[in-house]
Amino acid sequence: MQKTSLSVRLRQWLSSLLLLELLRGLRLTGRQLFQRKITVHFPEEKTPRSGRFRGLHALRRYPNGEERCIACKLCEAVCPALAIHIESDQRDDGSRRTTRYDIDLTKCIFCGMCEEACPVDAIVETHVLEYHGEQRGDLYYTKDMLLAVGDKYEQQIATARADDQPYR
Amino acid sequence: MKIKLEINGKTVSVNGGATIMEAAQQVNAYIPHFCYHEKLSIAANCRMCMVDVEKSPKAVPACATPALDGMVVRTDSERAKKAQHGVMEFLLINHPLDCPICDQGGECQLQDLAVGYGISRSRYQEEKRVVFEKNLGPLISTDMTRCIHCTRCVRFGREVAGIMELGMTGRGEHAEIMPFVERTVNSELSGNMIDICPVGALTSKPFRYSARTWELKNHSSVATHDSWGSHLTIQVKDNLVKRVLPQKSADIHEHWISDRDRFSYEGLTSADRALAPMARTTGGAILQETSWQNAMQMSAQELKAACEKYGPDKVGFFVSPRASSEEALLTNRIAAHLGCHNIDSRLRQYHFAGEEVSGLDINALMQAKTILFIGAEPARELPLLAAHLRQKKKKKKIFSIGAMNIGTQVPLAEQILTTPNEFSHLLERLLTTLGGKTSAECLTLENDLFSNADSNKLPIEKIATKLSADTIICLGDSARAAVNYGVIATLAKQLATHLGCALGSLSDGGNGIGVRRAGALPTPDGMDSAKMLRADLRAIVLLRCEPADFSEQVLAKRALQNADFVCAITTHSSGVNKFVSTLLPAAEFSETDGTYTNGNNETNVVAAAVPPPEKARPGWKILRLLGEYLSVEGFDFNDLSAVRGWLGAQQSAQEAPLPVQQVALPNKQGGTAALPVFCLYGGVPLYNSDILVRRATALQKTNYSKSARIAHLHPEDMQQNGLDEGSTIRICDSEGNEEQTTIAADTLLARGVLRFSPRQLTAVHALTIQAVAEEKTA
Repeated sequence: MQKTSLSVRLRQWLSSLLLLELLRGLRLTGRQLFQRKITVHFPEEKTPRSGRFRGLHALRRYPNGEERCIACKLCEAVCPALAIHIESDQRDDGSRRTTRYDIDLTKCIFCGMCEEACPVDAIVETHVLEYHGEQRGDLYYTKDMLLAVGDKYEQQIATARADDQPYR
Repeated sequence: MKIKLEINGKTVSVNGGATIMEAAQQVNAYIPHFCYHEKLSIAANCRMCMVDVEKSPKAVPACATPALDGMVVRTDSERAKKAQHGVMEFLLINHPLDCPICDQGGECQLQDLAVGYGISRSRYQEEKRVVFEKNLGPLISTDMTRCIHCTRCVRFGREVAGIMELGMTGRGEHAEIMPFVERTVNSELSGNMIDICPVGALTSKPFRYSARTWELKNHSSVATHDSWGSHLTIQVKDNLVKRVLPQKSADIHEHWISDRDRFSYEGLTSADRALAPMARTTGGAILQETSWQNAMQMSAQELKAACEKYGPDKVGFFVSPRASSEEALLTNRIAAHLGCHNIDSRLRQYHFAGEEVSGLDINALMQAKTILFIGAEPARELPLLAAHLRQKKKKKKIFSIGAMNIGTQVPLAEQILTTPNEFSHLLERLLTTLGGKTSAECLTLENDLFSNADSNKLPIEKIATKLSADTIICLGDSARAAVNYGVIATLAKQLATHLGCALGSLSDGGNGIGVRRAGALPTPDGMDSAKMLRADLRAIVLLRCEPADFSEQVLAKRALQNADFVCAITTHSSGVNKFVSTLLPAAEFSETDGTYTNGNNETNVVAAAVPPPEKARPGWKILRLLGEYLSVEGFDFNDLSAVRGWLGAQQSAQEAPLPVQQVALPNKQGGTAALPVFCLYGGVPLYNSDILVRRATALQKTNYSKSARIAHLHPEDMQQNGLDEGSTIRICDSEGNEEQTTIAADTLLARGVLRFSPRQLTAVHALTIQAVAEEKTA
């Protein structure tokens, strides 16, 4: 250990004797005590979120009610967590559609790559983060559940997409 | 003559006449291309393969420009790249860019080359053209807007499939690929157009939208629908076969496979797939699902009981020629253990007294200068053989003696159209013309020849003079189904021996040679399949076959109905569930390991691509367990290596042919009353050949299948008998059975021949026809 000079040692002894550090800490506490509080009372209050926030997934529809997804499976291919499972077939009208579209939210890492890969903006991530499951299986979202999420939040999804449009 | 040129700084030496494309392949300099295909003629209409040649004023197409001595070629210079960019931009002008919904996405040449050789954005703002879909039948689905007019499909039809069913109409913006008006694509090789289409214009209809290419796992396999034994790539997703593609190889398999091999996989998931072991309780009317143990125990007990009660002569084993060699061998061992000699795999043959002709030596076929087909229809029996014979480079003189004009299938030098009943007679005349001698047993009995043609005018001598040691004689299934096949085969053998030439058969079935070698043939004490059907068997074991696999369907059904015990080791239940006591669900060709021997005597060991569905098990495991319940010696193996060892030992044993025996040929006077007598064609309809193909839904919707459901006659025969196209007729045999069907004209048939698959008739070689008066509803 290096030998410290006498003056330094003397100063250290004095400051610890006079509890200067404690007083300095108390000064900060005292200042915060009378300032405006920033605690948010969730869920009654919410912090603002970016338009690009990546929360619960949704499958969107076109305004005429037709589902957007065309079963190209690019989201399934790009998903790094292998959370998406899709089965496709020809629908009676000859179009290409999914017969199954599942996202395992327990596997999902919310990277947003599915959203980026989608050529028709069908799979999107919403602002919703307050969802839960009481059992493990509850977080296995099927096509119907994802479409329901999309139907519920379409307004907000569309606004977020429109806001982001200039940067895409 | 060799010439030397320089490509991208590398010197390459090629034969004179080679193109720049071929030279570039030698030095692995990739030149992007769409219309060029190594197995098709050169069209040079996609213009993608532009390369820069020194001293040439413009970039030139590599696929159509012959390499010259001292040429300096650059595939990656500024000029070449500019040309490629320009061509790619033009190709993409009218392309819909709907890759996300296109089945070709991921394996699309246009997609790949657009990334590699295109520019990243489009400058084209105007409207794109739309081309209406074309109906090309149940196998190929079209999205003609995606077409880039490379004309590969057109050239394939013309050069390989033999019929030009697609063509390009219009010019420039209005160019379209289309079939002839109101026609679909009917070639038995049409599926290959899907493979060679570089974009998503032609895609597979059964596969449509069911998976993406990157999800599929590839497995090697071998086709088991004909004795050509095409090498396959089976593509699998989630343990289901999703698609079957050819495996490219340099030898005879080339790049093509027949539609039967390509689309038969649909049968793997048919509704009547046997998924669980079933058993009928004694006297019970209902077939019930049971455990494997129960079903096995019952099968073994009943087999043993039948052997003890009625003797092993009353037990019969029928093996499908599509079974693997191991399955056939194990069946043979079980039969031998029971003391039973009745085991056979030749289910589509009536007459066995004579030589056995099997196999088709491809080497001999390739080297032969002349080919003589007897009762054969190559495009139906071995579609790829016909494709081979059509190629102009390998010109051979082909002769045919048959009941069907095969001039539309292969280029023929001469043919004799006749009824199958006369094959032996004509062979005999051919042999005597050549100075050979026929044995007394083969002499054709007194009979009235069926055809009206003057037999002295037949070009027998013309054919005879062309036959030599460089000939190959090929027997087809119309001959095999003839009433005196043994005699035909013996005469063909005598002819081949006399000429010193090769002899082969087209109608062995997928693994016919393999199963016969493995022991699916009756021993001299046993009965052949035709005899077994008439022998009032008490217990029958079916290995992957059903009544429709027999040429005598009615007799097969009757035999199964009358037997006390029927055990079916089968993949599909609907054909047999009325008759069986125990049904043991087996695996199909893609679901089991196995050894298969094709007509060319090549043995392929194939591994399973997918596991069998639900409770179904590979046939060899079922037979092993059955053997163990019957305490057959040596059946305690756990893998196939032991069985393959036995197979090796078995293969040296050769069966001796039966002594030849002529049968009375049915003649014109044989029929009852004054009705005209016709001879059955005998060939198995293309998509009716085996248990799997019969359940492949898309194949069953083809025009081939539709036409196979009705009867056909030569138009003159119809006229003579006052029959109209589409009218209903009653067909009767000499034993009093009859069935009704619709009749249509077929100009390719010989006179006196009825093309028809009988379902109710027993004596099928002489049939009388009667028009059914249509009941007119007021």
